[in-house]
Amino acid sequence: MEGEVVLLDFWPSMFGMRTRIALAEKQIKYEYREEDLRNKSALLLQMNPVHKKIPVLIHNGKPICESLIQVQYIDEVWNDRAPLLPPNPYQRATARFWADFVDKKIYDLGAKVWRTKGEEQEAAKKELIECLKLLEGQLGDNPYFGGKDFGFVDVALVPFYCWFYTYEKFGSFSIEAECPKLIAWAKRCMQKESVAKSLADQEKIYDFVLHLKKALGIEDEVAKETVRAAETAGFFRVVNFMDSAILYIKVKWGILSSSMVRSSCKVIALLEGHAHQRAQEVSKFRL
Amino acid sequence: MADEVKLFGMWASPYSRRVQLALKLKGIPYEYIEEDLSNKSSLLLKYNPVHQKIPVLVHNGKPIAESLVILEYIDETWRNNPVLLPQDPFERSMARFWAKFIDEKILITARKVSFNTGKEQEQAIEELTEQLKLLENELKGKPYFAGEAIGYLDIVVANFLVFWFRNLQEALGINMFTQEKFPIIFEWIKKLVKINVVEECRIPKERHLVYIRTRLEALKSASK
Repeated sequence: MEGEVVLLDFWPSMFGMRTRIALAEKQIKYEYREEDLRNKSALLLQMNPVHKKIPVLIHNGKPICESLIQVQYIDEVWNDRAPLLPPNPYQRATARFWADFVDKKIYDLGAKVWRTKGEEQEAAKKELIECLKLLEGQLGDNPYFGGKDFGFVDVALVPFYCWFYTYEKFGSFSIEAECPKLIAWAKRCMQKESVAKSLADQEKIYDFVLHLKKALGIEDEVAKETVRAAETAGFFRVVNFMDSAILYIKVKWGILSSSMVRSSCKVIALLEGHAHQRAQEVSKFRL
Repeated sequence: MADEVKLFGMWASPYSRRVQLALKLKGIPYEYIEEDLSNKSSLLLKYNPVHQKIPVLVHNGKPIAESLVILEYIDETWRNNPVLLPQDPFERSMARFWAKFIDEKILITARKVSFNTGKEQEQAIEELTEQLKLLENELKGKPYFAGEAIGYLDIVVANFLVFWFRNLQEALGINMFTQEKFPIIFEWIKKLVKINVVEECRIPKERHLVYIRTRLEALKSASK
């Protein structure tokens, strides 16, 4: 008996995709609800008050948060079909370790590849490829990370495949050239209906990120000026645009005295104007 | 065939002590190997090439890394009492959620408290207080986080709060974690410390205070 299953999600989220894949693997009927991250629903805020993030899985009214926790929950509740974790405890531990590795590394490195430029981007690209190669090594000659069968680590990693195109375009590099076996694995996964139906279209993701970058104004000269002015004010070393937005938020909330930033009138004018808008958008698009 | 269990750990690490506590609660005999983190052994690097960190559990020659992964492995391999994770899938999700919250949010805020002073530190203390209150909520109506008996989340919280954070706040000269502010947690601590093995796993206080103070000094001078 399934009960009522609802998924609060956002279509480009690779974390939401994991849960979609798990539900599809188990052939569970559920209601998919698209969240507007700039205007989060009351239900989302009620069901995930701690993080206020998607995806949220709601089963018979009870929320489960965090994608890998959701996938394990789904595997444990619907344990009569398509198992995602193997029965052997050591193999389970290995699967959990590698899923945790994906969580710790791939999202942040990928985000740096499309968000940054120059040295920071190069370093992120290099580390991303190193991590993907490690994963490729773990795959070995098996068709899936789960061995013969599609499993937990496959679910954890494959959603990033639809983001690879975006990383490659912004980073001017080819993941396939560096990790051919991994791409072959991803294409093999895409042959599965559960994966093909759950992943977003890679071109749509690229468009989404293009729009996001414009909204964030990462290449905006005004943002750069804000950063320089804040650093001149001697407040703290503002590393990138995100920090200037956070700086604005801190000043507004009285967390920092604005006198600490007031040595340049230009700073305040800039902060009052553009950074406010950017700051709002930055905080809402963290997936 | 007798089980061979080894734990590579570090005396001041709450992550390492989590695993020790789980092993002791289950009554699993093990060999403990202390690692000098400034000079990691070749065995550690062989058993955890990916992260090169402790704790690492080695069971009959096979290594498992990442403390939360190790806790689940212990619970699934040695099925005797206490069973660490709840049986109900929803309760298990909640236990995993809060453990992750501690590792990903609370520990970061605790670090902000350590590395800042003045207004920045005050702000971090406020943030940490809010986070700990959220955690305390999970104890309402239960003797332990896991329910009637000590379990997975109790182990994680105990190591962070009772073993590690209380010493940290003393070393920093702050007093934010008090009975007045967190009465429910303090009730829980009273129960916890009655369990023999919990006391055995406690980080030795005086040595820990010296260790924390030395590290903070080193970090402060490094950042100058």
